[in-house]
Amino acid sequence: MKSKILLLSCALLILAALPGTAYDFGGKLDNATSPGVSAGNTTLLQEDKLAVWYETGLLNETLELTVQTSFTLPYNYSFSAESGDLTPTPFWNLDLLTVQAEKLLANGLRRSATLGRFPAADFSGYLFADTLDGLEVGWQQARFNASLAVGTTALQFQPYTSVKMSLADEADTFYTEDDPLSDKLAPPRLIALLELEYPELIGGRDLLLAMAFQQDLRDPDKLPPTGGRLTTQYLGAGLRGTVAPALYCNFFTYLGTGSMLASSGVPEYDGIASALAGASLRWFREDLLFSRVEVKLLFASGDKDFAAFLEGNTDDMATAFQPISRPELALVFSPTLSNLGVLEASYSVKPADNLQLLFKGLVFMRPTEAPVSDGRVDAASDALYLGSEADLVVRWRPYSDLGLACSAGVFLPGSEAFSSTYHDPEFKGRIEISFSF
Amino acid sequence: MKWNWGILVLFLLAGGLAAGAQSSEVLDGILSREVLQADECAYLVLAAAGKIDDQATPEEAFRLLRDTGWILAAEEAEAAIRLGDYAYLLMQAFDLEGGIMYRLVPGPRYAARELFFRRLTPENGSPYRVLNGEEAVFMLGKFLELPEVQS
Repeated sequence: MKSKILLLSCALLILAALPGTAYDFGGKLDNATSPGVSAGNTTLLQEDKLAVWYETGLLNETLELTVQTSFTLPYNYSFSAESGDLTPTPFWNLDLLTVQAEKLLANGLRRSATLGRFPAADFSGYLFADTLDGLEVGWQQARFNASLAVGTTALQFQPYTSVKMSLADEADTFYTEDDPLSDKLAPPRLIALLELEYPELIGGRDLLLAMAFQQDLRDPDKLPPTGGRLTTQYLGAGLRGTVAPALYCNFFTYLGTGSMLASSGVPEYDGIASALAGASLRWFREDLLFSRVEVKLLFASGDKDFAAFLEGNTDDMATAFQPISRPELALVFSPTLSNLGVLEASYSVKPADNLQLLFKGLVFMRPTEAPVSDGRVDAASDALYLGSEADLVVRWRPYSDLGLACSAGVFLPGSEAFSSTYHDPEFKGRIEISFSF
Repeated sequence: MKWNWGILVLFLLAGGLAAGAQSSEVLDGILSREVLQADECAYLVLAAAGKIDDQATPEEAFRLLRDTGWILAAEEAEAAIRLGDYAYLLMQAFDLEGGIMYRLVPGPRYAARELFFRRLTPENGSPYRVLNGEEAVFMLGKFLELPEVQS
């Protein structure tokens, strides 16, 4: 029913916009095939997505309407299961629906506003990068940029959200055949991101400042018995720019505060004081086949008294960092950025105009002996080294409307950190084909 | 009047068109256009392709366009030109290969897509929107920088 209402609203908006003069439309067909081998179990995930989009001017071109909707058909297949499980569950989604306005003022200030469903991310991309339903406003000048995005994740469908911060969020992901995941809505959270950017302020480098908060909008009476309302706030700063010819740096940090339900059985909330930090150095030479070498370090604080990864604090202040969304760190092993340290080295080269090769090596550690988001890590283990991964990505775009990408990765689990069932190397591949029309 | 002299000079050199008084006057007129006309579109593309000389007028260029066999969806010289029409004419004039859809269904829509992909169009790359003169000259300047066009 919700899907039909959204679809109808979307169609009405498009019809209302038809008189607009500058319009455009198109489509995209994406295929992703991901074979994997983990603990002797061979799996195959096949996902096909058809998306169509439309954009047009409104009110004499003062506003711009953009809408994109998609239909996804995923196949999950486990070769090792006794009965082959081939159960495609189609997902419909409204990917994008925005009305945008932009105005350039005489003093060079550009103001913009976007209302609707839009992608939003913090400046690092590690705290939050997902879709919001709400409002985003921006101010841009040569020496100063600011943006404020306020929205909710409550109206999105569960398969399309990467927000899973609490036990209540996790409970939202449980589904049955009669109550499929595609009908479930994402965790209802109110999220606000304020960012200020001062280009070339410090030694020619950009200074970035950010404030963010997220609040659980659930009714306290409707929470699962073991979960609570997780509320967090963040204060961030970053610096990025060149440090030498062809050498580019990026530093950022976030301090996180808030409150979460204690795991001690007592219905009380503990405070949060946590940190996320990242640093990267990138060397880029266009004349050497667009060679790019990058070394990156990420650190997300943990809390050694956590009994479980989600809302597992058992003693005093919770010091585990609580990111709002979950970025993909690597192809095979990609835990949530909490109680985690990642060292990454990568090399990218373009031997031809339309061909790119990327090699990536990663080492995963945890700052404390507490759980990480991957449940295969042995809870009783005191090892801090989690494992290493090597990924290879080949991207080829033979035509402007056709793109291919092949990725392969192997993860070598740390034998002391992982349960004995998962000591074997884990493999994963991904073949992506994207065609626009 | 916002002149982009770099692009203009590049255009003139690449098109083999001497910067005479006639051509400067025509270009001045094109750059001041709020909506690019079919004859001006023909003039820009034929000049860049070296098919007309510096004394030619947009009206003559529009007539000459028929001899080339290139398609421009405009019956009248004063007809407004959309981004897709202009992109399609450019791709025909320089025999530029496009994507799969352009090869299957060549026309303004996928010509505009190709130029948008190559970052040659203004930010709003809709094939169906009208172009102004400044945008047309800007696109032409960037188009002439393509390696396939220069070779």
